[in-house]
Amino acid sequence: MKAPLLRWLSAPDLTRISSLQLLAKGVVEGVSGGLHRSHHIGSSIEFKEHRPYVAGDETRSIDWKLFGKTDRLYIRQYEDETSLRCTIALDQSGSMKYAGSRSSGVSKHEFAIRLAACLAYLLVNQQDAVGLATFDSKIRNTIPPRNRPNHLQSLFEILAASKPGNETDLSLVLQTLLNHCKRRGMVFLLSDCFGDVPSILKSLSLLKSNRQEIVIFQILDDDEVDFPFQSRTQFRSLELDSHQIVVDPNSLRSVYLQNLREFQDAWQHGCRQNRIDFVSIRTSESFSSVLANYVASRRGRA
Amino acid sequence: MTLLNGILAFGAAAFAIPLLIHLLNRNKFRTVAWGAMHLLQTTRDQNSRRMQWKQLLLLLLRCALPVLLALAMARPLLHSLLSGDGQSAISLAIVLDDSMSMFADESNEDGGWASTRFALACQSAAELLDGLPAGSNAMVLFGGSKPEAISEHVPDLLSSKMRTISKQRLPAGDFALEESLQESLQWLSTCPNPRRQLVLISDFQKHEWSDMFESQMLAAGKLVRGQPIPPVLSFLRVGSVPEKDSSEPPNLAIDAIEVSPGVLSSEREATVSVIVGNHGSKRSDSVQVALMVDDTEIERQQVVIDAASTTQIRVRWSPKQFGDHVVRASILRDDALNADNTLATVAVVQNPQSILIVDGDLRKEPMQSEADFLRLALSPFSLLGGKKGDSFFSKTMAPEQWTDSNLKGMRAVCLCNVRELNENQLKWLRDFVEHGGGLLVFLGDQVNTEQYQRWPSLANNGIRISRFSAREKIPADDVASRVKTQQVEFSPIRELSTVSLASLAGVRFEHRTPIELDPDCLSSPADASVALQFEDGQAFLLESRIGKGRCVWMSTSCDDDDSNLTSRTIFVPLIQKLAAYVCAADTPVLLLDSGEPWSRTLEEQKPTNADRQNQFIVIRPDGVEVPIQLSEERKLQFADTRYLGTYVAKPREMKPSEKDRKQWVVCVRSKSKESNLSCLTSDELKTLAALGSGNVFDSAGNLLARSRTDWHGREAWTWVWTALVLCFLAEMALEQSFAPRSVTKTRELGSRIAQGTTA
Repeated sequence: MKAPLLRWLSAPDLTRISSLQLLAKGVVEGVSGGLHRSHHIGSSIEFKEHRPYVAGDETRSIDWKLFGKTDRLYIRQYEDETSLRCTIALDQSGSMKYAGSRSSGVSKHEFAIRLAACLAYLLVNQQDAVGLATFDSKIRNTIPPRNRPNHLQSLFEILAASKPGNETDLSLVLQTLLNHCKRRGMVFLLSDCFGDVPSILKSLSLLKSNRQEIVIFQILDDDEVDFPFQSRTQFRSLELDSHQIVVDPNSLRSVYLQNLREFQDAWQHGCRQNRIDFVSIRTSESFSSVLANYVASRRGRA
Repeated sequence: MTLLNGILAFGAAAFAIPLLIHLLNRNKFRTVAWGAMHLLQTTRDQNSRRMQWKQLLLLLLRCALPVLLALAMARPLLHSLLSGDGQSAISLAIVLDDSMSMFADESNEDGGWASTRFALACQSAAELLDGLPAGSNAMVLFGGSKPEAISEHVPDLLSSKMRTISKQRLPAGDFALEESLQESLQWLSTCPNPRRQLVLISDFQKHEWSDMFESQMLAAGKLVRGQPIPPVLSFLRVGSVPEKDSSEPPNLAIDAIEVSPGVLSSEREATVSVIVGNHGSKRSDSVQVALMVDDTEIERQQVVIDAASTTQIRVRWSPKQFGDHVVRASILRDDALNADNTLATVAVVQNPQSILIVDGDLRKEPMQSEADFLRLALSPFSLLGGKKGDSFFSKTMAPEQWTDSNLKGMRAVCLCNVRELNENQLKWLRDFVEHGGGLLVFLGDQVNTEQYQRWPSLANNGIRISRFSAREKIPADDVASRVKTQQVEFSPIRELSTVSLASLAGVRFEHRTPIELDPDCLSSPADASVALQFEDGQAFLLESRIGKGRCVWMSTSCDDDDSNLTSRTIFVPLIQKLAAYVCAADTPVLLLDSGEPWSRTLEEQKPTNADRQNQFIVIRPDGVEVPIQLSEERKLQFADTRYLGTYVAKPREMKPSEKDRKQWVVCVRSKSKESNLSCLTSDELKTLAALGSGNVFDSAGNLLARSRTDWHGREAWTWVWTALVLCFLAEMALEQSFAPRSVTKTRELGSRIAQGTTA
């Protein structure tokens, strides 16, 4: 049996991902040195600012030269480079099970797993700590962020064990995730984002205010994007078996696309307001190139 | 609404095809496990009702397409006021009654005679024709006896013709309802116009319509309704509408005229009987009746006739010349109906016919044997010492005496009470009749029926046509003691006058030798028939044809043994008629009902040039000369006898000296009582019209007004085609609205939506 990583990532993907470096756009709090700037002020290289001494500060951080000049106690503060704490939130709800005809049999969930594996591999390679949370209506499995190389194995095992099913409640899951992400960090949300957009955005803004940078990878199937069905079709819900409707796709297509447009607009508008990266991906695309494009755009903005 | 091609309307059932497809596809769909149900759910909620309506509309349109196509091909015709502008062309068939009663004068407000009913009918027909919309076509058919149509079909030309035609036409025979309707419906069925109307114009004379047509009207209604496009049937009455219980209109008529005997010899005195009838409700005094032979008045008498009664005039007349003579009686007074004031008949004067009487019971005492009675009937004048000549010359012999040499020069043989005949005699008789001779057989008490039964049948070169039973006695006052004189087709009996017929009906028979027509004796059923019956259905007279000759068998004797026939006035005319019938290979028919074909075999004469070239003409009562051909059997045949009056046949070219001698005449009369001018009341006419599913009108104006309402029908196939095309376009548009956009476009749009690049 192939190692979990090789099941999802091909050699070219791995090569390509290895060359990528994900840079946190903002300042993240890290415990080990890495490529990212830390907001921790310490004994590091780059001076940041002075601040007045308060009782309890380490005396070694007092800038004695300045005390000599001003007769006041100031503390020297430095910017420090730190490792990134990333949490990958993977949606394994029933709707992620959908695999369209044009996605080569790859369901949205499988696509999300591969993307998550990519991300984890990329981040661990650059000494960032990576954690994982799989969820549907609630969080099913979590693994805290670590940056050790053998941590990848644990991540991949959880990813392999992930099975799509059940309903989703993204808003509740994000609120729960709030408790898992107490320190600054980055959250990658891999989901089709189906749900009540305002309540989800509200939860996202809470997460954002909890010092988390959020990147949403919305994974959609081609069929969900262009609704190509022709003949009379019964649509059965992947999340709720009892929910099924028979429609004539031809007559509903235009309105469906309008609904999709409004749905996407709501997401994009909400994310823009909360300064959240929203990347819509289709399962027919190559996830490595999607990731490469995203990292490239992120570098451009950094 | 009427469908011109109704059968094609069944194609509308094809509407079931889209319906079935819809119902079958309703439960046929693919199943997709789907994630984005929230997008679909809102979509469905928003659109399901609208979509259902659109789907339903599409289904209706698809169902409507075959229905409209079938409807358009079936050529619907709308009748409502809203469906047209009243100018749709129609086809109008006018059946005009030209029977004799239609030629009665109609009184005007001043009490004078204004016009005839026929003229009013022609006027009404012209008004109807004038009122037809443009593009219409019409036919006028005269329905008397043998329907006759005017060849013109353009309404304007026909109208002008109708205004002048009333004075040119003569009365025809009885109105032939069924034939007229059939002919006019036949014409209507060939007409291109979908709107069709059939108007029947008549005076609706009571005797003619109530008796004869009540039963026919039901059949007529069925006939009209059974047409693929049933025409609207209307009854237009002309003349005054009679009040209920109103008195009979005054009218005198010559009801009957009879010359006895009809076929007579020269110098023999004949009796002309004329019956003058008063069909009004008032007594008529000083009625002058003139009797004319060949347009020469021979007698004039003045009579008084009570209301609703008849009187008889008898006039003696001695013909001077051989040939056909027209004997005419005329009332010299104008009344409501002048056409029936004159009636004619024909008397044929010819050489005496030789008849051989074979008597099986010859006696020396006078008036004891049958031959005596027969001689008296056949040659009454010569026996009684009169100066006039008889029509027949007879010779009497005993059965065992006569041989074939005795038959030479004879025109007929009478077998009276002959016990039996030997084989030779039977053979001679067969040959005699086959070559044009006549045979008259009277079955008396001497007849050996068993022997008769062994005679060779007609089919086996014999003369027997019946089974003979033993002579029987008829109880007094039994129905079998009388003969049935009603509805007799046998021409010698038909030509008898009503007085003679009444006399025949009064004869009481006491014995008879039952004879029953035996089909096994005949080569074909047409060879023989029952000519006259007793009231109980047994045959009284049988007649048969053998070769060129004729035979008549009477089941009783011709003396006073079996009946009181010899003491009745009918005896002489009956025997003479029967003798004349068997004597002549073709007895001249002297009187015809209108419409009956006339056939007359010319006597043996020296052939003329005209004969050789077979060029003859028949002069109709209206003066029209119709050329006819003489057949090889020297037979003149003429079928067009619809007009009442005398028809004269003669060679086309004739010397003046031959003028009177070489002509053959027949008189055509009406069957029903046309002289009674009372008509159906409004209620009676409405009842009658209801049987035929028609409407009654009293004037052409009313009929036109009503018809204009009905003529608002118009063919609607163009509208249906338009609706069909519109439906087709709507279906395509609706279908297009359901159809997917092109795949590329949809995908591009989906991509833009997913990337958030659309507005």
